[in-house]
Amino acid sequence: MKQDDVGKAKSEAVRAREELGRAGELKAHSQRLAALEAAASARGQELEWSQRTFEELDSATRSLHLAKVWLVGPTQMC
Amino acid sequence: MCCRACSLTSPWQVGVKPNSELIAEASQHLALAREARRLAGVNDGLNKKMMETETAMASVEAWARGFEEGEVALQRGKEALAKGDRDEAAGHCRVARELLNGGLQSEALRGALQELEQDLNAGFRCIRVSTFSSS
Repeated sequence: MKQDDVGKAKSEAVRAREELGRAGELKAHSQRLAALEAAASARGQELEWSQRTFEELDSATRSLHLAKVWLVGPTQMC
Repeated sequence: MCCRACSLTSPWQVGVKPNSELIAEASQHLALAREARRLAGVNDGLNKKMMETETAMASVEAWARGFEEGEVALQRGKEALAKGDRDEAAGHCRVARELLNGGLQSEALRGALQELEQDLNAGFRCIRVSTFSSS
């Protein structure tokens, strides 16, 4: 093997190692991204449920307010 | 408008739904809210609002029970007065008065009680006048 061929093979090996490293990083990033997406989705669902809870509580508060007005009389309440 | 919370166009609309129906409605919303909170995860603001609503619910339920007791007392008072039993009628009036003095706020009950007390006092006056006249 010529000296040039040895140098070429070495530099190719270095590049291949670098690409392998990048691929590994990419995989790790991809896994991290998937985890973040899953967390965001779960959080999004939690927020939707949170919003729904607030809406139900608002409806309950409104019904209770009307019930109070009914019991007490509007001039006393408002 | 009645107020910003209920946005009624006029106070008479309050009587459109009976309060028992409104309380049942609130109870259903509260049950759904509890279910939704379970899935909503940890949220201090939500927990605070939930507690406030639960307290309001308990308060309205207590008022409704007091209102019902007052209504029953006044109905029995009217019946007793119709039978001519003024002592019993006065006893029922006292029950309703105690409820109103004890914190129960209700214009309707207060008005009905005043009417019954007037009838009762008018009845007593009739007795006094007739007793005086016969003697």
